[in-house]
Amino acid sequence: MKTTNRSYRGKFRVLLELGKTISRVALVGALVLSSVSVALAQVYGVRRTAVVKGPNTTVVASRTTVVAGGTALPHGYIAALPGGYRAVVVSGTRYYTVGGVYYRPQIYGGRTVYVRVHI
Amino acid sequence: MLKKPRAGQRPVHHCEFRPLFFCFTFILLAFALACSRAAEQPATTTANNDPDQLLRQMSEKLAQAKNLSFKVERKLDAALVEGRNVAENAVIEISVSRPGKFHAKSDSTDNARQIFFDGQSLSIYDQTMKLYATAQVTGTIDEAVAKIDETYGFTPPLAEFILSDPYGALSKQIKTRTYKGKESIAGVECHHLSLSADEADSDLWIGTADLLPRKLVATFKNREGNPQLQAVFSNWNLTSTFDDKMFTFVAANDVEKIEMITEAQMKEAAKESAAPEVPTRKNP
Repeated sequence: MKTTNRSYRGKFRVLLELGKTISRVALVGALVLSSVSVALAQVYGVRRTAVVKGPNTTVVASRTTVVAGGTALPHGYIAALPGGYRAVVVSGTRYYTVGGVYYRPQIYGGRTVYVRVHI
Repeated sequence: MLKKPRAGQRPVHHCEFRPLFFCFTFILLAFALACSRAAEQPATTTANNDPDQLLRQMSEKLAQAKNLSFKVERKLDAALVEGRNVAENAVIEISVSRPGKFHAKSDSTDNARQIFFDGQSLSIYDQTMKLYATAQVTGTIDEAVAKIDETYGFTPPLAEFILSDPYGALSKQIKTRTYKGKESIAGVECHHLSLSADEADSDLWIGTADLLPRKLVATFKNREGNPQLQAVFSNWNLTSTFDDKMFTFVAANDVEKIEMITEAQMKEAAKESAAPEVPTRKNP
């Protein structure tokens, strides 16, 4: 009888250890799985708002509220060309010009933007 | 265990209680029962009025589809369109081949764009201006979206819905969830959920029968005028067949390659443009 009790105790101990191991594996699994999901800086494709710090940690004015959350582009950039533009190729690169101002196209934020350049 | 009988004694069977074996059998039976019940019940009956559960079910449905396509009619208020002062209405067609390919085609009033990702690179094609840019991004859709978001500061439209775990992506933003009842969207009966978050409060309509997203209205409460994004989902196909070529961009002869500007480069440009102006007159 004593032998049987000892045998039960041993088996329960094994069961207890097994339970602990399963719960540890489950916990680690849950942590790993949760870390897999992507944390985006966008909300449905729209940039989150954030305060942009300028030089000397002052909050930069509207001219540059831009990059980390506003909807404006930095000075010198435009999202659409003014009417009446025409394309020109200079040294194999395409530019657009209107009113004597030249713009080079770039892709930013998934869209085409135009930066003012001097040629 | 069978003990050897003594002479004139009937054999006695000792059936030993085996707790370990019993527990395993019980767990296996319970698991099998749970699986069979889950398989038997259609999605509609498992849907309840628990908004979190509905979000999870919608997410699982999307995540399980290996090849899916859908259409979104998206309206962005002017304040949400970067660099512009006009609202944008676009029809976006999205095709996804898990785990590592997607294509999005957007047609708006003044621009047609496409995004290609084939597991090796991501290309943006401005169809209107005949320009394109390519970024070397490899891996799964999740990895590409995260990388593009971090480096280039954008994501494909409504990327949350094409990731491998939409629930994980959405629930990271959401603070509270409320069930608002059943409503009809374009003739489809939907569960209406209200989701609040730090950045935007959203209303999401999920089909009661198919548990697919049908409409999303997000109000960006931190922006002046509380601008909205509205997306109406349709043409869901969770068993699409694609030609793999559609995920790879091949430039035509008249299309020019341009640079894709990183977030860091743009920040630098912003910093330069924000340099303090030199005062023209000194105070006495």
